[in-house]
Order: sequence, then structure tokens, then C-alpha cells
Amino acid sequence: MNVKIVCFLLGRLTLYGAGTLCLPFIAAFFYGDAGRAFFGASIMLTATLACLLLAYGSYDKYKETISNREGVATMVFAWLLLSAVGSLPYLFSGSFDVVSALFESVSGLTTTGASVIPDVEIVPKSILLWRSLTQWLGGLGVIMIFIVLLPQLSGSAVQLFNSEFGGFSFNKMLPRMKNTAWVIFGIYLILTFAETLLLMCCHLNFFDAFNHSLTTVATGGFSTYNDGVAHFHSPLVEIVITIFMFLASVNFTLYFAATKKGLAVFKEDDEFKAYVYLLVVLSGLITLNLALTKGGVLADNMRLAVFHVVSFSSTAGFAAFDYDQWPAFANFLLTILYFTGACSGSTAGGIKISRFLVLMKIIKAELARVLHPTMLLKISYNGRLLTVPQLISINCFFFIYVASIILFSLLLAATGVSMNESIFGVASCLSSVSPGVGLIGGMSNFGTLTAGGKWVLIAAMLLGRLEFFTVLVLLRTEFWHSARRW
Amino acid sequence: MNLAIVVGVLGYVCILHGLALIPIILYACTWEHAFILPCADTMFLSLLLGFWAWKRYKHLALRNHWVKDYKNMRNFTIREGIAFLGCGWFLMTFLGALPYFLSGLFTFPDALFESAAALTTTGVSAMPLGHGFPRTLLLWHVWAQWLGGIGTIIVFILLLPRLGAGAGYLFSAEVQGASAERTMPSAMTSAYIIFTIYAGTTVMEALLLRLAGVPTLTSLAVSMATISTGGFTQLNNFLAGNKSLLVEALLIIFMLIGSINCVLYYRCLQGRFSLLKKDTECKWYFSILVGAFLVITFNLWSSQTYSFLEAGRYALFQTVSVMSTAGFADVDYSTWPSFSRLLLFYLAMIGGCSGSTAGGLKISRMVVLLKICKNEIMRTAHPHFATLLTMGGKPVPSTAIGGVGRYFFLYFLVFIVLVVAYSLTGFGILETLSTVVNCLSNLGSPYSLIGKNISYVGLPVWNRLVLYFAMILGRVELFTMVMVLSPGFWMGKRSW
Repeated sequence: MNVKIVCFLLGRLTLYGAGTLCLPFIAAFFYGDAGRAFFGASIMLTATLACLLLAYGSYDKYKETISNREGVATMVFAWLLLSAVGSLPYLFSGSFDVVSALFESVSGLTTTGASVIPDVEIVPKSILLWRSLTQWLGGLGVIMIFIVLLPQLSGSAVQLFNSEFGGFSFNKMLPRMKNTAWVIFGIYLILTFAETLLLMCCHLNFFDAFNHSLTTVATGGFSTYNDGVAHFHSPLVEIVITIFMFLASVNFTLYFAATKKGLAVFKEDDEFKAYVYLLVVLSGLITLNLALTKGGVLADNMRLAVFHVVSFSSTAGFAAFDYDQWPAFANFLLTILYFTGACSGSTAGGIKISRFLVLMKIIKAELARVLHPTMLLKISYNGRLLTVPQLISINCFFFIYVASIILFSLLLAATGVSMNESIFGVASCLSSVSPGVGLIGGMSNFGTLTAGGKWVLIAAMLLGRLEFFTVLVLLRTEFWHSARRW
Repeated sequence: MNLAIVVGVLGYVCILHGLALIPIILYACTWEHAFILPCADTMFLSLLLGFWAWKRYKHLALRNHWVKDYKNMRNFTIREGIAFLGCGWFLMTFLGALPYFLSGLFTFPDALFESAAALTTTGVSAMPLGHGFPRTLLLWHVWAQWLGGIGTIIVFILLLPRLGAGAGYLFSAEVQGASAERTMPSAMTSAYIIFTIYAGTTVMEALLLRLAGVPTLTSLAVSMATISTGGFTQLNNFLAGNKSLLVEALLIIFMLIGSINCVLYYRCLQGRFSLLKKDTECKWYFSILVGAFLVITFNLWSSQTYSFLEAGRYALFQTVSVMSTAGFADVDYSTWPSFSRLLLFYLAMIGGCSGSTAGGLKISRMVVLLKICKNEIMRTAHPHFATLLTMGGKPVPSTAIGGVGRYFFLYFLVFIVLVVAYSLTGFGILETLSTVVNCLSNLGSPYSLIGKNISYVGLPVWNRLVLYFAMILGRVELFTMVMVLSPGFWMGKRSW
């Protein structure tokens, strides 16, 4: 392991972190709130840290030695470091203890959107802006910025890009990755500004509109109000947010491809089709269930059903209604979306539709093989044949996901949280959805957890966002034995 | 598909089912005359159906020359095997439900539920607990459970020498799990051996319980319920009333015996005791058990639910009972802290060792999955790393590795479908989860693992149906059962 180069990269990243902190700093002056001091102090501290890291690390001498190992280490430590940097403003504001500040920061960067702030409406606006900004940056993926800002890194960045952004995607377009990265960044910006404009057309003020756009496009789910989107009592706002949550949960490389080959790419993409199909079916079922059990206006039921289905599958986790009051059937259907998530290559979390598609195909193939044990089977995704190690890897990912839910929910329950809150809270944090059920449900927040509980969820959020393997490999001692190079 | 053969073999099963009722009828004749008729009717019906089917099969087979030498039954292929296995379970639960239904105490869905609970060794009951479940029916329940426990199939394996290539498949589907070694000489011999071990341990437990002061009939019923790792909820008040440490200890030992791979006992009979110590699955099973026991004890003690000794006692009994999916309960654990209950819930999903009567996902699968993950993590750092997965020192073939992963996903899928279906009638989230796991893992605990305690009395018919399928899906190897339930299986015209 080459520590110097890791330090150098982390230093660069921290420097940009300090740069980002300037935005809420300026906003604090603009709104004249108390944020000036917090952000000033945070910028100073972050910049110092960055300088130290840059002074210790060096790049040019070692750039030939960057391997997969350095890449993995950089990525995991980048997340940890940025989480720490992100928590500084909260910490300096004085109303957070260390673990709460870290929780809020991790929840932001991982685009989870779980909050420990009991009343966000009295929090300084600059802090709220910072919260939304962390999500926006997290949604983009720190590594995206990495690629944009560090063109030198191209070789081993391929691996990072895949594990960070793709999940499991074949539209990687590796040859011109920098180019791809820029286009994706552009799409991200366009989506954000388009939504801000549309929300302002729905009579939201600029601040609310901007914040909600930042968190929608990142599929994060922080809001500037305690009751989230329900605060606006506006079907129009809900519809706009629904549309943008959906847009943000589609594979971004598809947009890139669409600029070249036209809209047909959407029709040809297995994952996109399956995703739309899933959304339609689940929204339909929930609408029906609500109509049968609760009655009420069909259009309202449908709007709420679609909103929540998209909100959960895109793992934004906005709540426009206290869905805890819905029947268990509807809640279970929403829970399924914790697992599926949305398309790979989007800002959403979860297992991703593409993986589920492949898993379903495997099952179908296996059923055929029960009858014909020596049959040879081919499993393809988007027209490409998958290899056996790839299939095993997907199966394995699914298992790790479920095993993590089991492990973390046990840990959370050990801190005294009730059973359904631990199961669903952990599942939602792993998929970066955020609201669970009960006390940590859509209309409540995570402030009631004990410090231990917060640590557990912080770990869950980071693991889920980094898709397990990258973090778990660091836990193996073998990884650190620098003598061996593979 | 050669349906005639399937029908014929099912006829055999019906005949055996009829014969199995004889001891129950004898008991009813001696003690409870009211139940003679329902049982005798069922027996008569089973025998009639059986002989008719057998005759029809023979007739059809000879007429169409499907099988020239029908003693070999070469036409009994995998497809027929699956059809037989699937239909067998539905048919048996149907016939088994008749005594309950004809007695007039049960509605038909309730009777079917009760029967499935017995045959799949789940051991829940559609009747109110502790309200004098008729002794004859109780005996029938545990007896069916005992027969079902060994996988009713193992009794039918006595028929298998008559069958052709499908026979090996049947055996592997019933004694399920990722067992890497091909263990026994032939299906026939192994069936005999397993049957002997099974019956022997049951008799031994009954004797020991009798010596510990339990009434004869109860000790017999309890031992049948223990060895089949079914644990009947109606027997539970025996435990609650009988606060004897000795009885609890005996139950723990025999629940453990019931949830360990039968093949290992066979090895022990051969004198190869070292295998028992070396067996990977066994080691994991006991490690998980001991770990869970210690953690739960600590949790119960530190949350001041019980004194230290009591906590240990209840924790041990419940951990073993849940993990072996017997589902006996010596204490109502619905008041335990959430950590302990959640842990028990997860243990119930994992279940016992493969090749035993325990339900759940099985330890061996979990071990293989964990090992795959370990390899996969290595490959994150070193993408071109060549990995080898071993169980007990022997490499596991890559097809088996893939199979375990797929099985896990399918299990999860089935679980989700059942949960969603169950919640349709408006049950709460935790209650739904706990009830479905209770049935899917064939646990059959009288208390809810998570959520409020729920009663199985007077469930809506829809929920009965969902649980009925949950129990059967949990019992039979999933791919087989999903296959039987998919319409394509029956409509497929292609014959391979």
C-alpha cells in the first residue's frame, strides 16, 4: 500500500471540500444568519487538513504504482474523511454532539436523508443549504468529482468508477471516461436547475425550491420542513418532485447514449423497462389497496401511491403522507422497494434493478435445469452473455445485503430499539432511503436513537453506499500486507 | 409426462396412508369411540383411492406399452418425480385433513391447515390451545408429524427400488441441503437405515421421558414431536405445567439429535465417530447455538427479565427449540427484549442442519454463502484472484456454489410473496413476518417470534391458504415445489 499517494488524493479532495463549504458560507452572509462563524471555522480547519495531507502526500513520484489496492483505500477513506469534514459545521453550531453531527453528515453524503434534527425549521438557512449540498455532492459520487478533477488518475480510476457509480452496469463507455463523467455532470446540473425552475413556478420560494431540487436529483430526501413535502399541501409540487425523482433514478449513461442514438435506447434497455414496469405495477396495487381499504378520491390515492413508490424506489425517501397509517400490504410493497432500489448508474441506492433482473433470470434458468440437469444455460443481460463469476458475484451481493440487514438490525435492537424499527430502519439506511416505520417513520426522525444506534446506522449507510465489498476488503488483514503485490 | 405412473405411485402412497391410520383407530376404539368413524372413514377412502389408482396405473401402463417391464419403471423420470413429490404433498395433506374434518370439530380449511401443520412438522394448531384437544386427534397429529418428519418420502423410499432413474433425485430433494459427499450405498438401504435411527431415537426418548415421570401417552407424543422437530403447540401446556429441569434437558438433547444430519448417525453406527467432530456443518451449528445462547442469556439477564440462572435455562431451551425448528416453548417469550426476539427470529430462518427434519434455510447453505462472500471480497482487491471453495477440506463444485446462491434468492422471493399475500387481509407488519416465518421454517411456535402474540384460531380462509403453502414450500426443496406450482410444468408438451 502506497500511503503517500492515498494521502495526496485525499488532500486534493479535502481541498475541494473546503471549497464547497464556501457556498453556504456566502449564503450565511446573504441570509444574515449565525452560520458565518460555523462555516468560517469549518473552512479554516478543512483547508488546514487538506494542506497537511498534501504536504505529506506526493503524486508524481509514485503515479506508476497506483493499483487497485490504492484505489479501494482512497475511496473508502475519502468517504470517511468527507463525512468528517461534512460534520464540522454541525459540530461548530453547538447544537449537535459528535455522533449526531457525523450521522447527519453521513446521512447527507450517502444520500440517505435520515435526520437527527428534531425541528429543521428553526435551523439557520446556511446549515440547511449545507445539508442539501452534501446530498447533492454525495449523489454525484465523490469519485465523479475525482475523475473530473484529477485527469491523471485515469488508469485505476476505471475500477473506482465501476464500483462507485455503476453498481452493475454495462454501459460504462470506458474509453472516454472523462468525457462521460463531464456529460453526466452536465445532466445532473441541468436536472437540478430545471427542477428548481419548475418548483418556483409552483410558487415555492427560491430557497425551498433549490434545496428540494438538490436533494431530489441526488435522490437524498432532506427537506427544509419537518413534515417534508407534505408541508406544501400542493399536488403540483408532489408531481414535479415525482417526475424528477424518477428522472434521477434512471441510469445516467442512458441519457448520455440518448444524446447520440435517440430515445430508442430507453426502449432497448432491459433495466429501464423492468423499472418502469415495477413502478407501474406497484403503484397500481397500492392505489387499489388504498381505494379498497380507505376509500377517498381515486386521483389522490393514485398520486400518493405513485409519489411514494417512486420516492422509495429511487431511494429518495420523501414522504408526502404518513404512510405508517397505510395498511400493512401497502407498506410491505413499499418495503420491497427498499431492496430493489432503482437503476444502476443512477444516484439511487439499494440492490438495483439490474441485479434483480439477473437474479430472476437465474431462477428461471435454474427451474429449467431442475428438469434437465445437464442442460447448458446462457444468461444474458442487455444482449450480453454473463460469465459464471459475474453471476456468483451478483448472488453474493444479494446475500451480503440480506446478511447486513440481519447483523445491523440485531445491533440496533441491542441498543433498545423496537423490532420493526430496527429491521426497517436498517433496511432503509442500507438502501439510503431513510424513513423507516414507527418512531423513525416518514413523519419522524432519527433523533430519538441512542448514540450506539446512530453509530450502527452510520456504518449501515456507508456500507450500503459503497456497496459492501469495497469496505469489507479493507477489514481483511491480508489487504494491508504491503509486501505482496498481486 | 407419464401421468399414469405418477397416479400409480400416488396410489401406493394412499394405501400406506390408510395403513398408517390403523394405530390411531385402535386407540380410538379403546378410549374415544367418537373418533372411530372419522378415522375409519379416512382409512377406507385412502385405501379405496389407493387401490383404484394402482389398478388404473397398471392397466394404463400395460395397455399403452409405456413400460414393457413395469417393475423397472424406467419411465419414472425427473419430471414424474417432481410431479409425484408435489402432488404427494397436496394429496397427503388432503387425506390427512379428513379425520379432523369428519370429526365435526374443524371447518375444512382449518382441517387442511392442521393436517399440513402436522405433515410438514410445523406443529401449529387451528384449535384454541389448552382447551382439551381430543386425544385421538392429537395422536394422529403427532403421528402424521412423525411420519412427515422423516419426510413422508423416506417411508415411500421403500417403493423406490421399483422406480428407475428418478429415484436418486427424489432422495436428494427430500434430504435436502448442500451435502457435498455422496454418502450412502443406495436409496433403499439408506431409507432403512435412516428409518431405524429415527424410530430408535424416538423410542429412546419416550423411555427416558417415561422414566422422568411423564405419563406414557404424553411421553410418546412428545418424543414423536421432538424427533420430527415439529413440536406440537397443543402439547405445550405439558411443558408449561411440568417445570421439570430433567424433562427440559431431555427435550433439548433430543431436539438437537433431531436437527443434525442423519448421515452422521449412520457414520457413527459404522464406528467413525471422528466424522461427527470434523463435520463442518455440525461445528457451525453448535457454534451458532452456543453464541446465540450466550448472547440471549446476557440480554435477558442484563435487561432484568430473569435472574441469571433462569435466563440461562430459558435461553438455552428456546435457542435450541427455535433453531431446530421444533418450536416447543417453556416460557412465553413475547415479553422478552427486542434483541433476543429478533435473534430468535433470524435463527428460525436459518434453521438446523441439512439432512435432518429441521426446516429453514439450513446451516450448510449459510456456510457456503459465507464462504462465497469471503472469496468475493478477496476478488475485489485482486480481480484475477483464483478462488477455491472448500467444505470440510473438499472442494465444492462450482455448480453447487451457484445453486446455493440461487436457492437463497428464491427463498427470499418466496418469503416476500407470502408476506405480501398474507398482509392482504390487514394483519400488522410484525405479526405477518413472524407468522410467515413460523410456517415457512416449519417452526410452529405457539408464541410470536416478533410482534404481538397471534392466535391461529379463526384465521380468514385466505390466510390459512397462504400459511398452508408456506408450510409446504418450506418443507419440500423450493425449486421442486415452485416447479410444481408453475403452470408451464404441467402444460409443457416437450418431453426430454
